[in-house]
Amino acid sequence: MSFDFSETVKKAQSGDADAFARLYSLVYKDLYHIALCSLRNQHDACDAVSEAVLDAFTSIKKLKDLNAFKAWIVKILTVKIKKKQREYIENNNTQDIEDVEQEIKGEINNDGFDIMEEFAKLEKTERLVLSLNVVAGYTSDEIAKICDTNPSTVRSKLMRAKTKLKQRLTSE
Amino acid sequence: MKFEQKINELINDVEVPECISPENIAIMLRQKTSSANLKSFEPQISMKSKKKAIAFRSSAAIAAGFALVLGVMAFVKDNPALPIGYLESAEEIKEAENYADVYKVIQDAFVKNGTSKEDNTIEPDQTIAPATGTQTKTGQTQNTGDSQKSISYDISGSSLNDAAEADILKTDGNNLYYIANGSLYIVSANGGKMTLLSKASSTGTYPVEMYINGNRLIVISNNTVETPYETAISQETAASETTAAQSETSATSGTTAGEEAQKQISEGDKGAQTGGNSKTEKKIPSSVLQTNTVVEIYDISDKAAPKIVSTYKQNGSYISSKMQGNAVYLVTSYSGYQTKPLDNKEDLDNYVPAYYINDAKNYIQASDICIPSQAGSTSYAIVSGLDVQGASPLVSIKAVLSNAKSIYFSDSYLYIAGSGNAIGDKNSTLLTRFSIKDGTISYSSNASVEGAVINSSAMNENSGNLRLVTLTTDSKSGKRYSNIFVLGSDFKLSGSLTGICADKTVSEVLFEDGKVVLMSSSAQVLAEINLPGNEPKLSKTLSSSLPVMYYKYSDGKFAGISGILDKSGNVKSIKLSIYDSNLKEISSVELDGALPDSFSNDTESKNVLFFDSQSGLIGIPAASKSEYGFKNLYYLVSYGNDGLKLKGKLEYNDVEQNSSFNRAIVSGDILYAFSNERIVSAQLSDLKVIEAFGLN
Repeated sequence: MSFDFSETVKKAQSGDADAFARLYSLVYKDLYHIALCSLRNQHDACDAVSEAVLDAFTSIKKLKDLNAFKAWIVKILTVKIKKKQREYIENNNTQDIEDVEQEIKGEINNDGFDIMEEFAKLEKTERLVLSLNVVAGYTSDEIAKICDTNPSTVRSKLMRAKTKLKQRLTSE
Repeated sequence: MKFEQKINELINDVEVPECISPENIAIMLRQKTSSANLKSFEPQISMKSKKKAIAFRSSAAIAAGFALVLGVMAFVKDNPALPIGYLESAEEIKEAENYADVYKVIQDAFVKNGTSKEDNTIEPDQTIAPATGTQTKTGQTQNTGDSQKSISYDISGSSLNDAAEADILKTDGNNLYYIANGSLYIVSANGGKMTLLSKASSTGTYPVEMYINGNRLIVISNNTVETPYETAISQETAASETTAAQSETSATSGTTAGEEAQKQISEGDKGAQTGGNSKTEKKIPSSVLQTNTVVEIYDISDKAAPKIVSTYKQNGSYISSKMQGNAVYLVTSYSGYQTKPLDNKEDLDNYVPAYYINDAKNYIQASDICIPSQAGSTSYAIVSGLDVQGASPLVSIKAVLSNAKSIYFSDSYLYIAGSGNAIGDKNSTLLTRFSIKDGTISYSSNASVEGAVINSSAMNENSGNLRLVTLTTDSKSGKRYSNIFVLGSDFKLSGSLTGICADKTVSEVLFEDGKVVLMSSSAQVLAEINLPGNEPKLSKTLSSSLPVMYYKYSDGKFAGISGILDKSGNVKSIKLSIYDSNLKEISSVELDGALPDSFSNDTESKNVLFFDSQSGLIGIPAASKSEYGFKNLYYLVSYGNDGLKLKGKLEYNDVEQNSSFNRAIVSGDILYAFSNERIVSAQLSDLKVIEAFGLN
């Protein structure tokens, strides 16, 4: 479906839910996959995306650079993801790796199983930066802006995450 | 392929849950905007709880997509006197006396529930259903108790033999009926030399499945219409402008900390909700896509020129159907129907489902709308009974205010499982049972059980007893476990086994007489239900190192697809196995040359494999390597006293994904394999191609 992106953003800014949903349709898969990779279970991922959407819809009128919609909503999502990750720690609700494997196995097809299983074993910030990189295609500098961190930190985390994944996948 | 690309592809293969699909998000947001106009209905609550309320309403609006309802549904207190996991009487269902009853329930569900259940400042309504004069209709139809086999709508292997199942592929012996590319093709089989007799397609409707009943062809289609509407929103000024600038900085330059962004966003929310700023009402033209399900009944006496006999349409997305004699029962799920604030009970379009007979519109009668006493869903499950041989198709229609998460047909009943009100911290299922006979549908009874029914494979009727498997999620502790419940013919709990498969995701359930198998990716748990006592008992746990898809082959036997590992532990090929009812592998065969990831994408379909237990043939779509990269194949395996033997493979030089084989049938001594592009016929004896018939 083709539509005028800027016009749609403006409509969304005036409170048009359907216009917002059209914008969302362009990015929702990426949003969910980033959330799933980072939070490791479907329910929290859906929660994070839903919460991010609600916040974004409420505050989209604040968005002045219309072309920055994706980066903007991804940033809101990363805030939600970090919040949930903090809740895990505060509630001591960390899942052990077996749980994660079970969850992941139930949610993805067999093709992706090996990689997703190993993905789930990464440290939480590694999962976030790697998902932003490979799912949404952001560079280290862009991820640094989204996550409010240093680009060199992102690069090292990305490198570490990719190395770990490759090692684990090739050793099996 | 680059490592990153590979990861990206694999992650992108993960399906996005329906609950956050753009359609459901649109519903959620529309509710959010319309709720702004319904503030007069809302009780006085804190700003914090208002934010929660929005989240609740949103969740309620998208409940049709949620498999599990976590802590956002209405809470009822545990009753220690009740059997574990069973809520006997709290979920009375009543038939509405008039539309005002329905209006009130919908209004409450949209407006009140969200505010009261989450923040606990207001007690939830105990009875949302009409308080005056409506008797609870139990109408329990006595089950005949016969043990005739029920029709399951999941893993029952293929077959074209079962006319009672709707399918994309049918044959009358001489002709092939096939739905592909949004069209219906009628093709003369003619011993493998095929001829197109007719092709039907229409703008705006997309055929999904069909039945053949004598000289009638019944085609079920989806029809999506765009409905324009205006939504009035309150616009804020002043306070939010300040944070707008800050947020823009945050989003575009990324110089603000994430926590600060969150704070700004929250403040933006508050600004939008306080109403302390100056407000203007603005009407915004918009539109919503609404789905209807269309049933077209054709006279196919002349296959080259099918004549339309009647057209029936009802609101909602197609969920499932069943044909029994001349009656077709159709189930749709209807949500997202609201296009304006619910402030006019005369406007039936906004809250009452409709159906159309030959384009004549009718609303479902209030007395045909069943209302759970604590309706937590604003979705309707709509079921109609159609006489496909009659002049006018509709025999009866019923709707229940419940999302249709899973449905199951037995010979006498239709069971609809929807999200129920939480039992303490645990999710639950509301089960509604309708009796079905000759197209007439009557409300029978209802019950609630702990947990969410896993899917349609998790319900099964045997000797009048409904057995079902649910997954409980405790919103407080985060614990998950499965349960088996047995409801007797009176729809009362007669047996249960709870707390099994802890922290495992059971994805499929197999029933075989008194046995139940719960399958997760790492283990299969076998439980036995001893009849007539109905008390399930855990039998044993089997382990499997690989995910396996199971399909029912015949009574007491299952077929399964799994991978064959190389020395490094990677899947190198595909294996077909036959298992007994204890899931012990009794025979297997490797599909020589099949690429490990080439088995049909549609593995969850009940019909992806072709089974003919009488001739002992099993067909499997797959692909293997070729000089062009890969080629599409259709494997044929025979199963006899000497076990499984690879009979051969039908090869056709199609390398495009779109032309991979979806299905196949055997008619006489010819195998017909179907892709979206063509039908390929081959001799059954040597699988040599006779002809490839293009569909476009």
